Amino acid sequence: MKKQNGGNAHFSFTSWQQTCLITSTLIGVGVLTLPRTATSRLLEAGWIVPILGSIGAYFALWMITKLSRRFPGMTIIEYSPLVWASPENPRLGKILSLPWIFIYLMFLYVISAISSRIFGEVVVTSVLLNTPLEVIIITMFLLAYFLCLHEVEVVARVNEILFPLNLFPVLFIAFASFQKAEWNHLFPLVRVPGKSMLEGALEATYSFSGYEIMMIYFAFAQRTSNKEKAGFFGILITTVVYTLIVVAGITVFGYEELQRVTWPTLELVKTTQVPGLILERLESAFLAVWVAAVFTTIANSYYTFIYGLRQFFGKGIVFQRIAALFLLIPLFFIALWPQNIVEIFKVSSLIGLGGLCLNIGIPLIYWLVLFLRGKGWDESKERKADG
Amino acid sequence: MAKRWLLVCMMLIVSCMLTGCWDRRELEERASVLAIAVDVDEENEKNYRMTVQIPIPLKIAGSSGQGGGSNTDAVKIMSVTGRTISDATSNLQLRLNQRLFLGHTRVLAVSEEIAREGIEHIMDGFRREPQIRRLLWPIIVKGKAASLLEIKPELAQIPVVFIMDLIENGQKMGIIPNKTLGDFFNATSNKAMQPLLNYVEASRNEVKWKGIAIFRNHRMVGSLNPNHTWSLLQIRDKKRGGDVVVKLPETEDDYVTFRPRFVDSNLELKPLLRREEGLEAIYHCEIQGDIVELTKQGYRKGAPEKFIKEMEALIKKEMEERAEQMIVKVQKQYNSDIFKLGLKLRGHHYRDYWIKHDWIQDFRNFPIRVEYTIKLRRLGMEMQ
Amino acid sequence: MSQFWNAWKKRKESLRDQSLQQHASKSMESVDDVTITTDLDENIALIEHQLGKSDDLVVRRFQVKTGQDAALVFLDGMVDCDVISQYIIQNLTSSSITYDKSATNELETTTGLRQIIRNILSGNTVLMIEGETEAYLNNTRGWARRGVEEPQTESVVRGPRDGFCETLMVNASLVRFRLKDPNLRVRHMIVGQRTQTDIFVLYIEGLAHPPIVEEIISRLEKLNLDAVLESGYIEQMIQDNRYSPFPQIQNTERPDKVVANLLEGKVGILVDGTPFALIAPSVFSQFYQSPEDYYERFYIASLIRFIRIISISIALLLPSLYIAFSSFHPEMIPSRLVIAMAAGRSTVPFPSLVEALIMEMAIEILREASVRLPGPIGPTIGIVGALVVGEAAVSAGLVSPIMVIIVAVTTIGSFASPSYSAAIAIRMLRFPVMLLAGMFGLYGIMLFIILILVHLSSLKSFGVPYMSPLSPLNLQGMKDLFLRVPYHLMTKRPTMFRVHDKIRLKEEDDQS
Repeated sequence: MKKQNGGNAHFSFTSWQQTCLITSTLIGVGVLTLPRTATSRLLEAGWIVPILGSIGAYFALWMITKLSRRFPGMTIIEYSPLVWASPENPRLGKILSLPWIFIYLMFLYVISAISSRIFGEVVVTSVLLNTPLEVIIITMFLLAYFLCLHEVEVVARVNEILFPLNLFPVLFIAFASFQKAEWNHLFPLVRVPGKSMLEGALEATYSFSGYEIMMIYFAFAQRTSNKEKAGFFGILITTVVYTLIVVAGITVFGYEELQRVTWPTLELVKTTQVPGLILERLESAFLAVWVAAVFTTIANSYYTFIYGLRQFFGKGIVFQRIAALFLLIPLFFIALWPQNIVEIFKVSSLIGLGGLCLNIGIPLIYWLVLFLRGKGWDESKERKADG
Repeated sequence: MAKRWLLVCMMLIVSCMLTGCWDRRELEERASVLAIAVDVDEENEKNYRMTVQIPIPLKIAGSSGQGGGSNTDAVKIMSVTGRTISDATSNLQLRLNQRLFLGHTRVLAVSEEIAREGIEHIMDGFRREPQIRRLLWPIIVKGKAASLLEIKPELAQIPVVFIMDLIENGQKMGIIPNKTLGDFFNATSNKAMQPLLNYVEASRNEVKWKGIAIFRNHRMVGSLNPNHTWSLLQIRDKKRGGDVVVKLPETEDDYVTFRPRFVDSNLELKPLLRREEGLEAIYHCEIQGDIVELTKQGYRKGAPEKFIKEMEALIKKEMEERAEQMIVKVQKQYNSDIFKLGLKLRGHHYRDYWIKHDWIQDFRNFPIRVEYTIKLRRLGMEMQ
Repeated sequence: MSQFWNAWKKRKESLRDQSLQQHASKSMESVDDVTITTDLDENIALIEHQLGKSDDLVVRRFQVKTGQDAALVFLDGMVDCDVISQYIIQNLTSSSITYDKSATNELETTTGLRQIIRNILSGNTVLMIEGETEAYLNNTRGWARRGVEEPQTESVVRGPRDGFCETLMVNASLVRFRLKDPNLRVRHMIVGQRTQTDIFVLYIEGLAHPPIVEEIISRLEKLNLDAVLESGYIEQMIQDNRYSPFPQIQNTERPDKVVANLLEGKVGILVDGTPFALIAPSVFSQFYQSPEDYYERFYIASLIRFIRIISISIALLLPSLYIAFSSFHPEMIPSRLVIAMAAGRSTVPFPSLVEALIMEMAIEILREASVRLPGPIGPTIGIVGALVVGEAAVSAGLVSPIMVIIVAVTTIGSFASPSYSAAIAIRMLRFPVMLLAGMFGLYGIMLFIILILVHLSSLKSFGVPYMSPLSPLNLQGMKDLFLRVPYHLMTKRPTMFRVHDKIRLKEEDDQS
């Protein structure tokens, strides 16, 4: 445990890198189905869903940030024992924090499996029809594994580099399809009862899972960087992208048609025609570029999982590399667990719910424990550490 | 050290795994279907007859082979029957050396006969097939749909290319609506819209656009002729439509031709004055345009300002009459909301109108008016 | 457990290093402590013994004016005979021995045999006088050398025409001549156990980040190379990731480029015997940046940079895009074109991957052959080969006409990169992308791009991330990344090399 503390100090994620990390992890396979899931309850008003959903995300991320400020330079793996027991009793702390860390890491593990499965499904059903699903999943895993060979700072830089590739295709499609938009599809603004509204918002929060990786990565933030601001912008950019793509979906298709198509965003690409572009039918290109966004989701979660394990066992990069390779095998079977497309969407929606519970639950419980133990906010400590 | 070994392992896995190229199929290994036509099978009324058009690369002018030649050979037309579209497709595959490829299908011709029975059953296969473009053009063909594929246009080597150009250019000129498969899907699943598709007739050597086919749910209920279609395009899509030929009053056989240049239209939903409740729709359509032909020499008598006014009134009257006829036809005869009127009603009068009415039925009785404003801008190269 | 393991491994490694060093220095060690004596004959014998009685070793005996025996020892052909006869012998025989330092411009004394041998081997002349305990070393280097010529690999339209040559001192002077900053530091080092190559490490004190300079120098010191015949030896040994296909140290033939990079706080390494200087740390933008960008107006410079980026992308991706489009995603090609393409391909018996591989291999062979061919024939054969083979392949129906266009464009695109070593990295990476494209189409290409981007992000050149200023984002550096903004806007140096004096351009007062 002590070993890593020293090692972390020289890592420095800039604010922008933190924002990129959050946004790229959030934007992933979810966008492909988002217009459908967003409109399933709220019909025309589906575009509110991402905005409502982001509120939960802001709150959860804010708590995570505060936790990280309370224990500067420490990941959740490192500060968990300190939360659950006094520093003099590290063994007790470790045992008490074990279930939380386990849930957290397992969640990340499952997320990377299911994301790659969903992406595999969309590739196999729409572009590479004869390629086995397993091959697509394995290639994504190998890419994630390649990232796991490197140190943490590389993750931040990769996310920074791929950030434009994450945003560009969605923004392009959203704006290109606005020329076909039928704005009357967006009205009436509100016609569903408040209950469906809440349900819709809850469902939307699912698409905002992934920022829990920051429980680890905030530890490497530069001391001068503003974590709250980075987190806020990370979620904000995602919200804007989500809202744009939902609005584009609704205005082009109308909510009834959106309910009928499996991959609404992909259908949106199919209807997009860019005058003057040499290429027709951009869906293959879109999916190809989209690999970057999916990669950042899968690889970030997987890397965080592996890195968490490495920290938990107090091992070095070699352990990380070997563990990353061997843990790919169970990951592969988890990814192949759901039997059909309906089950996949069910699982992914369950995971979303789980993510919401986890993202709000863990920080909330940690803070409760800290306050109950009378170790809540330690102003002097924070100032010393951050200043 | 470990890193290198793992890299080697990874390379091995990759190379083992990548020995297959599952989806690799070369251009010439695909039988690209450029157009599909769906008819009723004459022998068995329950079956579909599917006709496809496949280009023969070697016969295309400019290819590295001897090429050129008459366009009779440039495409292969094949016809199969089946109980469903997929059934017909698999039957077709049995007769082809290469695998069918629908990624380049640009035209889906459906015979009027089938369209009048409803094309729900046909469309489902197209919805599910990922290769099918959402931007392909479904076209309703008067008579046999296969006749659209069998034309020999001579102006283009491949008949489908001729049809594509026809629609594309018509759409650029604003005289043919750009109705794609995606639009059709959207309109059929939407409760507040009804679909419309292009309606053509094919003869031996050519194809002629005859207006639009109007659908009610999945069933074709009728068609509009080009003049009426243009009125519809003007008020619905702000497309300019074709030239308007108006008979000059007080003449035997003389006409003035008005060419719309810019069209702006907006829909106003107004409470009815006469009745207690209810709404009426008024389309305000403003058209700017020129006079391109005036067959009677020296027709203009008064001041030029007065002439312009006269002409504007004349054209306005004609246009409004046409629109009136069109609306009556659509409402009373077909009862199909192809105006996207329901969408606007649902959007802006959801509580006070939409939930109280069954739009599918009540569209018939919804008062619609069209008010044209004609702005005659130029008289061409002639000052008279 | 693991700690123990690490410690053991470390010890093993250090032991191995020691034994390596011992082994390497054994040959030189034998003369390290030997000093010369007052006996001239014995000294000469010592030298002759060390050099194994080489036949080009000249020992010229004469008497100095004061009557003592003296001998000049030098290697024939490595020295300038005029200098020896005019300045040394004449001086010594005509004036008194107390002439001291007037013989030649560079004269030092030594007693160590090792240094004497080294000086003889590098073309200096050793003067030994009977009765003196010190030998005099005279700079008489004068072997055949190439003059300063226009650089072959990095020609520019506008810009200085001089390039480095094989002589270290000339190269250093070319840099000094441009950079009269008193803070320019030149560190002399000797690398190569056998070649004993002189190198200069150049940096500007106050600009370059000292830890980077120290890191470079320490890596150079640790260099255990037998021979350094070209700067490439050093480059490949001291770069951070030796397995990466990307050059993490820039090389150039242009003094102006070296100076410009020194002024950005980087470090230059000049190596004796090669016109290629090294610049470190170096980042990815070397792939498409040329000194000319700074000599022309910024609109043109920025535009040309974009063109270079596009052509590098073409060189890397175009054949694989063709494979992906034609055999995986033909629906993306416009319908009219696809019919024409299918017509062109209908006689080709191979899949497009094989077709592309054949053509790319052919063009690589042509390119390699035209480099080897004697001067005047080279380009002719290249053109004839390309034209004739291409045309024949098309008419034989082996390749489609569009493939010929693609190969040609790809080849031309790969020449647009101003850095040759960067361009060959791209050339090489083209083949794996083609294979991946042949397996997964566009998906495969994207997999490869991500792989490369992850690799590039992980690279560092002496502590500077390779993809900076893109990641980590550095807005000041971005001004000179894709665009080349006008000089008056680039007031600060890019901070990614951690320069100390950040201000490049002071605000001009009279401009307001």
